[in-house]
Amino acid sequence: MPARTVLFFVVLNLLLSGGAHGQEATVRVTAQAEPMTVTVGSAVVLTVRVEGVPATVVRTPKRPATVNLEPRQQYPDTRRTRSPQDGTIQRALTYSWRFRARRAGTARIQPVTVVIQGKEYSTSPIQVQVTSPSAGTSGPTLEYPDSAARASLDERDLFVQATATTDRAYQNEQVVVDYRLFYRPGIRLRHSRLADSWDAPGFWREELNVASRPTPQMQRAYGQRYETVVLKRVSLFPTRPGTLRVDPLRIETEAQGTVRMQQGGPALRGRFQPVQLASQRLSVQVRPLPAAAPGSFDGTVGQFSMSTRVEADSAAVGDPVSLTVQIEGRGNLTTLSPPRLDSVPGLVAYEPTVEADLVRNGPQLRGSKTFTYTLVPQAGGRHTTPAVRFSYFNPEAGQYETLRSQGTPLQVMGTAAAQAVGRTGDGLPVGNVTGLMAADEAHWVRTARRPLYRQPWVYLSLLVPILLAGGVVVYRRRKSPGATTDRASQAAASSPTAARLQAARRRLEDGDGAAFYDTLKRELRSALADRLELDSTPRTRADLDRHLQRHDVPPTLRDRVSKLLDRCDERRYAPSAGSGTGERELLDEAEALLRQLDSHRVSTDGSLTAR
Amino acid sequence: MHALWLRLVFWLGTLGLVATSAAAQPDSLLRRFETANEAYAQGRYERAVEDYRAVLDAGMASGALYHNLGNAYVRLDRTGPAVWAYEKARQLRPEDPRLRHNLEFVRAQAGLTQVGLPLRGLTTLVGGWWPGLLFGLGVVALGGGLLVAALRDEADWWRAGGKVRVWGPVVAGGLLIGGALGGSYVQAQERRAVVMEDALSLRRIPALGAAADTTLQGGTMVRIRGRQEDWVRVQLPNRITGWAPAQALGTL
Repeated sequence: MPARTVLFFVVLNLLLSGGAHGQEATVRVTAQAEPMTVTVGSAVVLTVRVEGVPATVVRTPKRPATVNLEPRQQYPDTRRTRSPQDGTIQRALTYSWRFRARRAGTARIQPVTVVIQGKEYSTSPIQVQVTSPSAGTSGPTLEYPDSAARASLDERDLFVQATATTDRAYQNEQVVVDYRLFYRPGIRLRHSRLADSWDAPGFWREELNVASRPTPQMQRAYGQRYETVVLKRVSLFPTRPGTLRVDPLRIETEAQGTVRMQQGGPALRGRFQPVQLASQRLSVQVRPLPAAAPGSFDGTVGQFSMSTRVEADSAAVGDPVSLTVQIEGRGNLTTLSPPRLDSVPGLVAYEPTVEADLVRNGPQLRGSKTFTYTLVPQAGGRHTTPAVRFSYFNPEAGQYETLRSQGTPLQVMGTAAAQAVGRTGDGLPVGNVTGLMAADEAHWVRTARRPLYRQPWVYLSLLVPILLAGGVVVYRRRKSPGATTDRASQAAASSPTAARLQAARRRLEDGDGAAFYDTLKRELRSALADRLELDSTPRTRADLDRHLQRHDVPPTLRDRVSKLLDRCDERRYAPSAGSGTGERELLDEAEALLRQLDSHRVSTDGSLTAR
Repeated sequence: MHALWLRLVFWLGTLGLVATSAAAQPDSLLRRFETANEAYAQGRYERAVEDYRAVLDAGMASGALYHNLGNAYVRLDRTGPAVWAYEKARQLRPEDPRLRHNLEFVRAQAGLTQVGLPLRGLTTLVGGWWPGLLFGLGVVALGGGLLVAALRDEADWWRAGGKVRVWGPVVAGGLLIGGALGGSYVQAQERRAVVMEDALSLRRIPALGAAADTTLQGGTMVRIRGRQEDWVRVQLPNRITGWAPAQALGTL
């Protein structure tokens, strides 16, 4: 064999072997699922991509086994793509299946095996997170209200996409949310309407204008072409820090898709079927505004400019002069408060009138707000209109900014207005604070005053009345030691006596004179009988006197008893109209008489002896 | 004995010196107050504030002082301290129409929608009480009753309505004293404050790095619900609570 021929075979062999090695080295089989996080009921697309080999040598793979995913098709959709790479045309073959997530948790797609020229290539297993529909931000959903309806469309054919200009904002910063309907070309929609109320708790909301009959725009998403229209656009201004959520937008519509009776067959138009679409829920992380805000800051956030204008450069005392302040820009213009005017002596500024011109046709809320203040000069001379300060927070710069407008000269002619002007009926100034209080109006107190219940002297002072009363008692006892004892013993002794005459006392208090004398006489005789230890009350005056004499009652006492009973009889039948003084004296005499009788005790032999 | 006398003289002298200086204090403070008024009249509001506060720091206050201090803060465009000063003045001069007017003015100027902080619960009942006066009346009634009881021990007087004349004042005095102490306690529990800074962020926990839920405007009145070192837990009228640095609030 000639040397030239050997060299040809070697080169051919090298070329063939090298080509074979090169072919094996470039074969690449990959799999990916999209999206990796879905809500229950949403679609998951598995795509297997084969690169580096012609389509004719690849056997169509079988659908992989899945956990927690429901397959929506038996055979994969196949696509061939060509793309330039490193100066060569790179061919690729893709197989895709659609699945539907069953329940919240983890879903798994087992490895896909692809056979290429008799050799097996396996992909890695894939995990997909499935969340419940209310678990926060998730993908758009599509549902058929009629559960028996055949689902010819899914979330990749028709959906509502919610997008926000930012998911992190400052308090009061404008966040624009768009709700855009996506549908594949060929899908027809009719009878579309809002299915539910929409809300954004914690936000101040301003609706922006969208076309009522929009022209669909072409847009790509998920690697496919869609026609899109804007359903709703709203400017949101978070009113408080924290995580604020925006409700999904839900619409009901009737959709008509296409169906294929068999794989690769012609596409036929199906029936209109009612479907419910919902966008994903959005959440916005709201940061508080930085501290150390300027004094003239009142919560306005955005980008603004300010201009001021005074309608005249001269005026007479008392004539109104308009000061117009216009603030223009992007932000929460609706809640923008009037800017502050510096206080100027001799000029009274009244609350402004406000006009707002909001532009809602653009991508965000903008416009202007005009404040017209009325200035009234109070005195003649050369004045300067109040300087205007307006502060806002610029979220793009992340700092507070203050716009200032210097005052302009104002020549005021005439003399000072009367004092009554600018004062209320109570003499209080309008648009100003009252004058200083003089020193003679100051009633000085200590500043560091503790509450009464925490003052120790309070509890000590409670002892004062107790000690005072105790001191008086002690003093009186020391001054006349016997007096108190005597009074006490008298009181003790008089107690049974007083009890004895209690009924008579009540009659006296009732003002019943006749009954009083009867009762007093009866109780006196009864008391005497008790003291003389008689079984019954003596019937006659003579019996009573005899018993008294027998018990050695002194004649003087006997005489007083007799006289007392006589007086009772006299007054019983001839009562005197008076204040009761006589009755009270009689009662006192009866008590004294009984006490004197009590001062004798009954001896064992029945006689009364002095104690 | 001699040492005892010397000691007594020393203490009496010291007491006299203290009493003399205490008696002289109001005059110097009065001069300071008038100096502050003059500074205000000349438009030197910062100086006026300094002088008014010097009187307060010396431990003396009056409704007029707080009123004038509030005016000076208004001129300096400091809403929070102005509201605080006027509210303090109202505690000492609750019926003065000038204070009501000035508070309305400063709140309107600052755009504050809050007109005050209404009393709640038991404080509504006892908020206007003067515990010191009630306590004094109670002590007098109690002492009077006990004194009469000590002086009048005649049995006939006691029988002729004496018990009512003694126990009536004693019971009334006891009720007044109890009411005064209870009212004082309830009033002390109602602690309020005013936001002194132009804007104050309420935080979820007492730390500067904590999340801020609400931003309060200067002059806003809040209730104090607790304290932890240099932080105060406050409650808004709408029941929202949060933590704020103590130095950012002026207690009433």
